Amino acid sequence: MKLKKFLPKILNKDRKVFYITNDSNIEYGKDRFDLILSPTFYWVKKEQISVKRESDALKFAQSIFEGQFEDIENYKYIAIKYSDSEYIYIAYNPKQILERLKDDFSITENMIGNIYTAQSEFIDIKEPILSISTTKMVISIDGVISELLKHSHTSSVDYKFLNQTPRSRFNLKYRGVNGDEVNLFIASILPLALVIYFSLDIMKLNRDIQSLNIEIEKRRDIYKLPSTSFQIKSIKNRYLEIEKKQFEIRDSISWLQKEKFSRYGKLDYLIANKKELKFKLELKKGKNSNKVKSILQKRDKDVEFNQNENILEVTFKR
Amino acid sequence: MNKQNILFIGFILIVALLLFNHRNKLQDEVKNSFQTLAHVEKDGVLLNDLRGRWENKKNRKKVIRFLRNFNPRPKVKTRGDKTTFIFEAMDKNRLNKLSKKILQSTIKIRKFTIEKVDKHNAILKLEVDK
Repeated sequence: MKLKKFLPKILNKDRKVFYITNDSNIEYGKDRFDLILSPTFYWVKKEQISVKRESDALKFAQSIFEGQFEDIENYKYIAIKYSDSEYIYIAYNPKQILERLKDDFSITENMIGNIYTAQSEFIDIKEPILSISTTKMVISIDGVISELLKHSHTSSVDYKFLNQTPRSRFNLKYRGVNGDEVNLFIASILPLALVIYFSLDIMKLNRDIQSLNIEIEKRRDIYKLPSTSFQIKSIKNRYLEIEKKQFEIRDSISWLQKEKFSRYGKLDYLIANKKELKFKLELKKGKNSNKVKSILQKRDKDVEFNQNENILEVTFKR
Repeated sequence: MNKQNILFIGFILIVALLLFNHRNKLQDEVKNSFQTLAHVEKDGVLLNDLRGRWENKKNRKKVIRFLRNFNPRPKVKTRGDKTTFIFEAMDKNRLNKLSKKILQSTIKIRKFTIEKVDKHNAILKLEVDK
């Protein structure tokens, strides 16, 4: 509790403080500042309540101000102990206060440190009248602070009083009432989550690409492959061509052995190379050459024959 | 929400969009890399197989040794990038045995010739890559 009372004094030490009333004309710099609101910003009631602590007294606040304003759910309260059984209640609408500060004084939420009421800050003043601006003064009547117009504009202003006295612990709770911070947080959750998700995914994908490239190079080395697909294709085609030609030579010789042309005649010669298969058959007497030709044509329709009596020369072009 | 907040969220959204676009590009790149890897593997296996068949020096030497030591011994002529084996006085059995061996081997045949000499004998000429 002591710490709670002591903290505001330390935290507010260097912050400028301004008294805000209807005709205030403040020249504020870049730093945040505190505000003391004139009584025109809030409601005050003094009540006798037989409770010891301010926190207990605060529980009665809403019922004390019941019927005072229509939008009572938007109000917040402060209870300040004045004497043993007397409490001063302050009711304020933080949203209305912020709107008024913005509209009338161009003060936005992010410029303000803490907001206090004249009631909480001047409750202990010894002088009954305090000149607070060039046109206004505050008076304390039975502990309740009110604001009045000055009779004379020449009276000096007690600015020093504001900055030299420490602030009370009764600052207004106004943060987040506009919903800006909450909305900003909620609205930025999805895009931020997306940014984080995509960033992590990009890192993972980069790692994948790197490891895949290493794997590709490794395989190229193992299989002794050239670096371009064009070179690979060219080598592959060369080998496939060799395989095709060698298969054709072997297949034609095997086919010739399988068909057993010795039944129809004797083989004089046989030549098998990449371009052709050529052989000469000396047909047996009485054997029909047409049967031999039909067997040969079964293999290839474009087979060439050169027959001279019983000698049949056959050429298969590739 | 004030203007600054809208700008802030707009900025994050633009960053998210740019990242999304970049991520899609990387995904395509990964896809392409996988395809390249599959192609390299496929081509590698095929080329290894083809090389093993047609450029296997060990196998070639073995076949050449067999041809040189065949009975009857062949005449061997080497000219340019080709070698010719001439087997004379080959009877039917030897001819069959030798042709079978040649056809089963993976030696690169340029020309395979059989010429009848008489009723029982033939000459087999085999031209192969050196």
